Amino acid sequence: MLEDENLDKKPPRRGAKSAPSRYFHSPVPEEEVKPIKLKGVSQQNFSGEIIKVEQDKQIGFKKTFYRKGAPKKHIKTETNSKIPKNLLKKYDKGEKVRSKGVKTKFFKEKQERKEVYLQYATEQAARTEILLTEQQGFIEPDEEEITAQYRQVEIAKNVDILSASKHFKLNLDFGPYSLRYTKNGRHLLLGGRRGHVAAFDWITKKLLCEMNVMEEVADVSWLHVHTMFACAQKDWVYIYDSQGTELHCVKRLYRVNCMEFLPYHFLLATGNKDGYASWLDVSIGELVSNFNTKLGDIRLMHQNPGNGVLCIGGSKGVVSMWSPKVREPLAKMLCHSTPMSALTVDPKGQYMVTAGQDRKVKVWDIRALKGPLVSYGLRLPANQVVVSQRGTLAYSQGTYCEIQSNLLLGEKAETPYLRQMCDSFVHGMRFCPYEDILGIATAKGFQSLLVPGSGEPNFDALEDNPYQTKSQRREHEVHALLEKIPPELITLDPNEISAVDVPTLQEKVDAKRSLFHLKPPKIDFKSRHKMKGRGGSAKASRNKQIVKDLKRKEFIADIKKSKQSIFKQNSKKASDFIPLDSSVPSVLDRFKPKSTKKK
Amino acid sequence: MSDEEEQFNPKAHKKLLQGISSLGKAQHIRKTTRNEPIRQQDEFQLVKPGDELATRYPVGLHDIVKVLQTTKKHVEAGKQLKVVQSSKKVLDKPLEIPQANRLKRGLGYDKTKKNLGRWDAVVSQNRNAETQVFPLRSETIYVDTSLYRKPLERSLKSELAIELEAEQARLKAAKRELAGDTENVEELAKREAELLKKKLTRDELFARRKELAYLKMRESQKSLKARKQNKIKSKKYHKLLKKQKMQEQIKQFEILQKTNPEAALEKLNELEKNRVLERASLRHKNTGTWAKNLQIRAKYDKDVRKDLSEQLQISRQLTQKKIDSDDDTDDDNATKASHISTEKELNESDPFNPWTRLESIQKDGGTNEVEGENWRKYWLDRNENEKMLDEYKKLLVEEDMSDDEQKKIKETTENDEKLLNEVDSRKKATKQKVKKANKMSKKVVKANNRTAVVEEEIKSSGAGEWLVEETNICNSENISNDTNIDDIFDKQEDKIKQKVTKKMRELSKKAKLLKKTQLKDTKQKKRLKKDELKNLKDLSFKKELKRPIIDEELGIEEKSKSNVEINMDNFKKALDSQALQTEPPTIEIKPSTIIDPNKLTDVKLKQHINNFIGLNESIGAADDDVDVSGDEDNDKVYLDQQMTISQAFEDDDIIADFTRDKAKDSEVKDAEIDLFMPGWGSWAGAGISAERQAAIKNKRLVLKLAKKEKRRDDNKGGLYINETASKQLRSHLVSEVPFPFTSVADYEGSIRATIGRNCVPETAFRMLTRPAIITHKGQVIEPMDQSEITKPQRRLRHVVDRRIARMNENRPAKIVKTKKKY
Repeated sequence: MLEDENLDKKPPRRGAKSAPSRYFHSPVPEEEVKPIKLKGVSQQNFSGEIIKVEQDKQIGFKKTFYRKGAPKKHIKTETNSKIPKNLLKKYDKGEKVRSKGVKTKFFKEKQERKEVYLQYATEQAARTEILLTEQQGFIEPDEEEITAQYRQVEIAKNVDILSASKHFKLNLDFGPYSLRYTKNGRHLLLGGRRGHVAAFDWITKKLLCEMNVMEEVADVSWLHVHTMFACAQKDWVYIYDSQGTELHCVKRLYRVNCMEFLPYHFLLATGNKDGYASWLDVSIGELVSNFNTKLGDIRLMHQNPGNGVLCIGGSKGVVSMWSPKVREPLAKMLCHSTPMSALTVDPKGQYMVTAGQDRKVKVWDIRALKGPLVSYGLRLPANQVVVSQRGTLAYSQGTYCEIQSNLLLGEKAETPYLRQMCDSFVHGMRFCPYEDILGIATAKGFQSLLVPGSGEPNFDALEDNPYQTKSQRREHEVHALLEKIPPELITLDPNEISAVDVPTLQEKVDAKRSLFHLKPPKIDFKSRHKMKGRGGSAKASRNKQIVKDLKRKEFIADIKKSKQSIFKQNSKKASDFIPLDSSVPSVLDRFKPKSTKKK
Repeated sequence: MSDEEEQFNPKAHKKLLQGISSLGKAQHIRKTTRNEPIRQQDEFQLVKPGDELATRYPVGLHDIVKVLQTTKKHVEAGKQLKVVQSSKKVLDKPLEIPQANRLKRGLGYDKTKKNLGRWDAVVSQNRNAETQVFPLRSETIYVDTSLYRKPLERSLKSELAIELEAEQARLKAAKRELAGDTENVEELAKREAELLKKKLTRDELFARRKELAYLKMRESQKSLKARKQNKIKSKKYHKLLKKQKMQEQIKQFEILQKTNPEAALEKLNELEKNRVLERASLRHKNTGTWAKNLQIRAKYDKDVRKDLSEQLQISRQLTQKKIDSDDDTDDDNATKASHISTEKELNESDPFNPWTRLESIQKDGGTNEVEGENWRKYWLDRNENEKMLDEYKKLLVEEDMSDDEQKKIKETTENDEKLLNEVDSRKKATKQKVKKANKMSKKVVKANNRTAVVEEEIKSSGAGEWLVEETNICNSENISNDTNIDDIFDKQEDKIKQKVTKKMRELSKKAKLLKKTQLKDTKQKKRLKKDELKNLKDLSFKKELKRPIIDEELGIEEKSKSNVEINMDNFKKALDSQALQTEPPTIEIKPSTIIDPNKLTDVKLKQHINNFIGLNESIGAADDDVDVSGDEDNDKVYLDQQMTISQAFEDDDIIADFTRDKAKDSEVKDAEIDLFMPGWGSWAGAGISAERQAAIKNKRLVLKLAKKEKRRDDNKGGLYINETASKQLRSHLVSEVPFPFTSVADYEGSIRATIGRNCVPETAFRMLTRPAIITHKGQVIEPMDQSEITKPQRRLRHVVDRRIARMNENRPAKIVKTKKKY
């Protein structure tokens, strides 16, 4: 009934309040009249009921016809957002699988569909580039000026207050210092040779802890979070928390010279004075691997962040690359004809920069193991070399530092990007991640320099977040632990896990050689239990012997066969052999006498 | 006697003769026309079947007609019957039940197959579908039914209610009128329902009838075919049929080979057995291609005739009935003897008589001799070959010797050619001469001798041999069949002519075709030109395996540079807009020279020079930095120190050491096996070095276990790559290429991209990990029904789905769901 009432109601009049008493009282010009657009049938106030039509009854649906050649609607929507080709290339996942290489039609189709998905994934990834809004910093020199002539004070004057506050200097008394930034660039760890260790939030200058370990400190390193750090002291490696409390003393890491932390593997890699390289898994506290590299005192060591391989430079000018589960070097590169003085790998794992006593700094392609791409000739050998996230190269010669804005283009430049004279000998240099800051640790303290354009302006908060809260840090830690990469996956090619295990040449040779020294396997033949009177022990033993003989003969025949095949491969026809009939058929062969038939 | 002659009555005589001749055939016992069903078969009823037609149709229609025509009353009926008999066809006897059933089954199978085939598209689509949503979507449509709604039936109605109802009905009618509906509702509904019913039933009836008719037609067709097929007598047809069957079986076997090897083996055995049986049946003793060919050649070839006769002999032997020897020993003794004598004679006269051949062969027992001949032949051949090789070598040596000799050789070759020509002419001559019969035989022999000489001279040239053979044949052919030779030549010529003409025709055809295709090609090329250009642009090297996460190319410099440049540009523009002053003087920048290690001191100076004067000043003025100028002396001292250190350490041995280490590390160990007896070849004593001994050792007795493979660091001097991966890593790797992939590269390609949340954007991740089946909670999933066949495809929302759909469209329509209406 309600609905029926509804029906009877008349639609409300339009504009009832301002309606004129007579239609001719206020004539409306034609232009002002808006054409009333009636809504579609389905959109009008609907007062019916919805019927769900059963499956087996046909409904006369309207079929839309497209002309064959006519463009369809959905194509238009896709072409709307075009992605530049170079971006697509950047996120490309590689060559498609040939449809020939997949066996059945079903799987062929499946693979093709997968390719569509991957294509979509690359497109989406390329689209995310829009979100990288921040731009790299730079210095614009005035006319007749060059960037190299600007002092730090001048730069600090011309930047905003926050950035200016990042330029500071610490005068410290406990000998040559080594330094480390955390992965997100928020915290700084300083370790003085004479025992002084300090950890602090360098942006707010808030001290986490400061102490003197009362021992020589060779190197310091953050662990996966800023609440823990390792300190290589005179004999052993100690692990402290951010309060300065000693958590562990790892005595198996003895007389360590340098340390590197692999954040994705949770490995603390160390190199010691006797040439031992060791990897300590800090998540379970186990020494994953510890062996002698036979390189002597390890002084130059740097991880390749791209694949987790440890690069160790030596006095023979050779950089060798090590993985914890392989006791030989994965690769060796002859970089300098003189002893090396510095070594670093860029944060993306693309370039390796080495410096030698031959007063050269060389840049190598570490992925293809090629190079040198660029070679700088200096007047003095470089003591320290570092590369920033954006490819800014800094090297120190004694007390003097030079910075090239780009490690590949720097060679061609007349003058460096920036230069800096320090108060004393430079012992450590590091670029701060996600900041335009170069930290320099010298014998007399620490300096934080402004290097515009060195840091990555856009950070991935799920990866490294400089503004991490406590809960975020904890969550990140858990995630990182869950995604920990096992140490055996550290290889030159990080994608080797997605490869097929193909036997090497040496293995092939060994397998063939072992054929010549194989012995027939022992056969443990157990005769079936037979009832009394069915088969005596004599019969059983005879049967056993028969079976054994059979098996042995079979085995020998097999071996013989495979040996024969090897011989066949190797054998060459003797030079004095004359074939009776030429294998090349001739037209005139038909006139030759027919072969005698077999009778 | 005349009386007797007069009495002779030809008619009576004929009758008598007939009677006599039919004496044996006469059947005294007639077949019973009527009988009662009895158990025991009366022996008198077993009658020899006479005329076939008569036995099959003991009473024909004509009999009735005959009877009918006797009475006047039924003459008309008889005529009619006759007409019927001539005009109407007698229905065929129905097929036998199993055969008919088989046909019926076949038809039913075809029908159901067709019916089920309609689902093929749906099935294949659902099998291949990336995701499926259950329950299946039903069509929802919206119908405004309020206008046609009846009020609720109530048991009691007040007057007011009735009034109201009436009013409402009136109103509704008015409204309907307004809406354009002028017809009565009920009537409409009724009519529609009726129509629907009628139409449906009629349509259905039609369809059913049609189908039945079709089925019946098919059945009759098939039965006719089956009946006719049984009657075909053509040998060729059966041959073809057999061949077809064989091919089918072979096809089946091939399929089985792939799917079920055991069954295939069985099948193979069966096939083989069939073949053996066929062969053993001796049907093909002289009808096969081999035998036919032999028959043709038997005219001219002795050996061939022998072979043929042997074959026939064997067949005879096998097919002969075995006669018991005891029965006819005495009787045939005499005949045997005579036989032998005749056989001997026959042997002498005709050695190729197949009936006499066997004996002679048995007598021969010359198999050993033949073997011996073979051996001799082998060795002779071998020796000859060796001789030839020697000659060839000599020739080679002679070539080296001098030019004069070369000339000589030329002459000899010319001679050879001449000789060849001579031989040709002689051949012609022989053709002519042979016609003229026996007189010339001597000459022919002479010619043969000559050609033999020639043959010795020009052994190395291949032409010599066949010439010799030709003449030899002439020699061996007893000249009795000299005319045949001529015929052969003529025939050969004819054949060659025919062949040539045929080939010419073919060639001309091909040429025409080629022209046509060329024209087509040009057209196509015009069309394709654009595409080619496109391809040209895309002519780049194949991409190699990429790293999924960090796959930046080397040379960030360009990017960053461009970035910086853009910034710079912006800045400059801003500056320009601020003050449009004179342009800054261009600074000449000298291109930096390549650094020479010998000019390192210069470089140092350069660096100093490059320090601007102003810069030094500014350094001095800087407050937070230490003065540089004071350190300059220190610097120098330090530099000198460093120089001495580096000089001290610098030695070429670093490179040498590295290469030595590399060679040592990349060496494959135990790559060879020494098959010498232990100790053999490893002598000791003065003047014997181990290296030389190793060199002297016969290479044939050293077994190389594997070929040398290319290493990654092969041509890179300063690089060593360890190619043995760690054992621990290998335990994580796949060691065999899994099923659908054929090669390592393809499999690696299939897992090249990671699909995790960390590696791809969230949207892509969700698509990549979409479930295969989506069901709604608490809803019954009904099975599919007929409507699914005709349903249009769902509208696809996601780009990926649409792309996949388009990809399928481009493919042959087998998989794509067809929208045909059945």
